Order: sequence, then structure tokens, then C-alpha cells
Amino acid sequence: MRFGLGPLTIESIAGKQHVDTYEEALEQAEIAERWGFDSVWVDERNFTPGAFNSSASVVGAAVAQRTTYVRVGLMPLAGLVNAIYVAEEVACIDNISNGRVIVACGEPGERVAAGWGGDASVDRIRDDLAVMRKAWGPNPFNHHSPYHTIPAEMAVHTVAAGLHSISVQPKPAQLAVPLWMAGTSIAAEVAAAEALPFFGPAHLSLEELRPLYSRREPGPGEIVPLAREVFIARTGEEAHESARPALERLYARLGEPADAGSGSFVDLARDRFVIGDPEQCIEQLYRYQHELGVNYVVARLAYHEMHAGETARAIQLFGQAVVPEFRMFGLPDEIRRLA
Amino acid sequence: MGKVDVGVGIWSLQSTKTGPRHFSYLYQELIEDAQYVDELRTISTIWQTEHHFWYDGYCPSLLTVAGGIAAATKHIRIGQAALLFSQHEALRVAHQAAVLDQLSAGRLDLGLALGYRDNEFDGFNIDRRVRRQRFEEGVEVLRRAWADGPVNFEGAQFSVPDVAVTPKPYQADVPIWVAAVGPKPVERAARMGASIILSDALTLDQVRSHIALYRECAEAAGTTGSGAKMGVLRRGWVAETNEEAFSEALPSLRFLLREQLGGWRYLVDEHGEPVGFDRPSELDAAAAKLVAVHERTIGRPERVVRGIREIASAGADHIIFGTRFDSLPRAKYLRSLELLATEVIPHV
Repeated sequence: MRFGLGPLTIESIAGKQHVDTYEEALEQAEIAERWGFDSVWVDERNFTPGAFNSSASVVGAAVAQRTTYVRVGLMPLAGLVNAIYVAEEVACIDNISNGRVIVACGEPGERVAAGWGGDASVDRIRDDLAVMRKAWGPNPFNHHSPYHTIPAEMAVHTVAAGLHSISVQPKPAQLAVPLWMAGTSIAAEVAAAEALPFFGPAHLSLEELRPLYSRREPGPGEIVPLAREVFIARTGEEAHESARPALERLYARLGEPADAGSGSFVDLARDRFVIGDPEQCIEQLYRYQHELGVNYVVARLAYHEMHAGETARAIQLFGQAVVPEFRMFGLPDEIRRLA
Repeated sequence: MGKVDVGVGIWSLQSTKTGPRHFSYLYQELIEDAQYVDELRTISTIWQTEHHFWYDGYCPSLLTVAGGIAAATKHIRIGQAALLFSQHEALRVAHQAAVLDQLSAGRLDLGLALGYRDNEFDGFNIDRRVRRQRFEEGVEVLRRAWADGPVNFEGAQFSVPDVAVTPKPYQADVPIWVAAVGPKPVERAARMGASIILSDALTLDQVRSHIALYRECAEAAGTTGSGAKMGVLRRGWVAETNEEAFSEALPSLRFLLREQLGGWRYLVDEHGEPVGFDRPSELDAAAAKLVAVHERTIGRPERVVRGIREIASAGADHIIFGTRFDSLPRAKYLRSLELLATEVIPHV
């Protein structure tokens, strides 16, 4: 199994200044790299009360600059703007990072509902993916669909007359940028149709995830990623203590299933969040591995209720005491116990 | 002549025919250059430049790449000369610029231009004829997006509903710079109270008259107190001796002006008509005229000091020292930057 950190929670609560949250996020990326994570993830939200980071690209480029080895997980939204913009930004970050980008496109539903425009349909998202793949490909291309007309070949553009295709530049450093779909039912449908890894979100429970992951049988060696909220500490009590305020706030504010089940925190957390000492975290992660076939976990680990030092310790503890269990096949018990 | 700031530019990240490079090399080099000028401290701003679908990889995503620059530096301001605003979605630019301003702790100088290449508008399926309208509506979207409260903008080009853009930028008032070749954008900038970046295709006399035009329009529009900067892009190169500087930089400058700018139909004749490869003798003449303009900021430090003062005396208070030339040896290039920072700027 592989592990990433994120998506980084870059937002301002409890009087924290934005400028500090961005700097802390970059520090978390460096810490994750130091403790052997495979990737660091950046997503984007818009119009949120806590002013969550609204550009995966800008911060993704910063993470690429601050790190050397980890992959940079970008979660741009599909369906909102001409997909060429996203393709260009990804290609630039892939070059800043010398080929370390993974893209997990998100569903734009919230923004479309807010009136941004765009289209959250399966067809539109698939069309955006097609444009991006063509844009990253080695040859000039054109694309005519209900959503994109590339190039437009307008008579008024006389200098461009006779050019039936364009070449999006620069090209990514990678031959093929790894592409996943992040989100819920629409993302799962797009992933199935496009034969892409489906990247389940942190807020859904095991039961809710099951139908989404069962839509398609992954090919041999294919990545099966999942995001989880992870609270880890030396003891289970400590982990629960730090988890409760962070998750209650996070999910109440996002309007996510704070009212799931009886509404108690324990009910909310069960089969949904990974909370505990290293052994308990390992046990919970095995369930996702066994029941959903997950082989790549992106763990949030960093929350604003926690002091930067606590976050750093959580990342380190996860890297030393949880990751080896899944990555080091045949790890002798004597060595495992040292952690 | 008041205080003059000197920035450097303009990073385009091109892998050209004469200087082919891996793109990752170019982006890594940009980051290293940014750190180098950041440490020199006297250079105020690092400026980027944008194009789309150009054969050599010309950088298309300035605010994204600026995220990398911001993460690599501490002091230097980060500017765009310029982001081709009419080819973008204004709300997306508003979000990205705000994030970049937070990420850099308030170091953004947002430079905007109309864009002019047909191929770019065509690729984005945007009618070139609406570029001015897109620009002006887009600036209004930016302003509303960064102010408190919802955007609520209904225009012919952009429609943004009752949403509040978050986060807001770090700076209370993100400086907006408008790039200009002709008089129209100068007038537009003056009405907005925005700073200007005058093109490298302009002679010193044209710079002087554009700045006078700006002042006149700002007076009429009541924007004189905006603190706008009068910026000018000039190609430049510093070496120990004039001979060295000429032999290092002039061939590249000639190539840049004729092949690159000519290829884009960026140069204009005396009637304001674009001059491209289809009119080779006019192109040669236009390029030669500009070589003479830019030669004045190429040479040993004393000569470049004079050249910069000359531009400042025309009313400019920010010079973008365009010192990125294709395929020059890196050591000489870094030396040019160092001389600019240590032997030129302190004496301007």
C-alpha cells in the first residue's frame, strides 16, 4: 500500500491568518516528504466561510517547489472552465516538479449549485478529461463537442485561418500524467467509463463507499485510492480527544453527515474516520484494504485545532508506525515492535 | 526624477529552436533565478510573460507558476508582464491571484493585458473582437471578488452571482498593472487608476507621450491619487565592458526582436499595422529601430545607469529590465543580474 498526505486543510478558523495557514501547509508537505510519504495532496474549494484554499494549481506549484521526491497530488475541478486552462496549469506544475504530478479531477457540483456556471454532468466531465489528455499528448489536436470547440476557426481570426488544430504547450514532463477521479457518484461513474482509478472522499463511510468502489474491477496493479481523515496519537484516548473537535467542526460546517445515525460523534466516526493509536489505525486501514481493495490511502492528518507541532508529530508517527506495516512486506515482528 | 524601481524579466520558459531545453530544466532554472534575485535584494520585482499554443512552450499559466516562485522566495515581488486577461475566466483569475497573494504574503503585482494573437483567442473559442469588453468586465469582477461581500456581476462576457470569493488577497489593494503598446490601454489604465507597463516596442519619445497621456487622462478621470506606477519594459544586459555586453547580448536581441516578435506580428509600422514575416524588409527595419532603442540599456554599469535614468526622465518610475535572452551562457547571465543589482540599481 502507498500513502499520501492530504488534501491539505488550508483554511482560516479561530482567528488564524490565511498567510500562516499557507505557510503551514507547505511545511506539512516538507514533513511528509521527510517521513517517507509517497505524495502530498492539494484540493480547492470556493466560497467557503473558512476561506478554504481556492486554487489547487497555485498551491500545487508551491508544494512542487518545496519538495523533491513526493508526488504532487492536484485536485482541480472539472466542468467549470475551458479544460485547456487546467491542462496548461498541470503541465507547468509537472515541469516544476520534474514529473511528479498526479491529477485527481473533482466534481464541480457545489460550484455549479452556487451559480458559477459550468456543468457537473458525467458527459461534461468526460469531455474535460478528453481535452486534457489531448492537450498533454504529443501531437496537435482539435476537439469538437457540445462543451468545447477547439479551435473555433472563427473567420475574424484571420491570422489563425487554415489552422485546424492547436498544440497546447508546454508538454508535461511525464509521458502520461496519472489521472484519477475524485468525488462521489458522478466521479465513480466517470471513473468506470474512463477506466480511471476512483478516489473516494474522506467523509463517506465504508458502507457508502462500497457501491462506488464496486462499479469496476481494477486491472492488475492498478491504483485504488481512498482519502481518509486520520487522527493518530500514542494512545487511543489522545487520538479521540484531538479528533472530536476537529471533525465535528469540519463536518458541521461542510454540511456533511454530521447528523448521520444517532448524531453522536462515535456513530459519526465509526467506519468513516481512522482514529486511534498506531495499532488501531492499522487495523482500521486493513478493513478498507480488504473490503474495498484500497491500495493507496491519502490521510489528512493535519487539522487546525492541532498545533503545528502536534501535526508534525502525527505525520511522523503515521510514517513510522503505520506506513511500514503496509509497505514493508515481511517486516519481522521484532522490528515492528520497535516502532 | 523621483525614485525608480527596477524589476527583472521577463520569464517565458521557452524551449526555442536555437536554445532547446527540457521544460523541467527551464522551470528549475526559473526557480533558481528567482532565488538568486531574491537574495540580491535591490531588484524589486520578478516579471513573467504569457502566451498560449506557441511552438516553443511559452509559459501559459503565470499565476500557477508564480506559486512556485512564491514558495522559493521571501522578499521579491512577483509580477506578470503580462497575463493575457481577456483570454481567461475572470473569476478563476480572481481566486488564483488571491491565493497567490496570501501564499506570498502580499507580493503580487498583477499585470494584465488584452492579448492580441488570433491563434490564442481561436484556441480558447473567444472572439477577439470582445477582448476589450472581457478585459473591462473582468477587472470589475476582480475588484468585486476581492472586496467584502458577494460579487453579483452581470455583464455581456461574465456573469457571477451572489457568491463571496474566498480567501481575499493579503494586500488590501492588489496593484493592477495594465500592459500597453498603443494609447487605448493607457487611457483605460488611467481611468482605472491602474499602473501601466509600456511595451518594449516603444521608443523613448513614445514612452514620454504615453506617460503624458496617462497623466492627462488620470486628471480627467480623477484618479491621480491612485499611486499608479509608470512601468517600462526595456531589454537590457550588463557586463564589465561595453564590448563584452554588446557581443554577448546584441545577437540575441536581434533574434528576439525579428524572429520572435516578428513572428507574432507584435511589431507595427508607422501606420500602426502589424509587421510579420510576410513583409521582411519592413520587419528588418522595425527590428533595427528597436535594437537602437534597447542598446541604451546594454553595456557596462555606467552606461546602463544612464540608460535607465533616461527612461526615468521620460516619467517612468519602474523599469522592467528585460534580461532574459535565449541561449546565452548561464554564468554570464547571472553575472549580468549581479552587476545590475550591485553596480547599476544603487546608482540610478
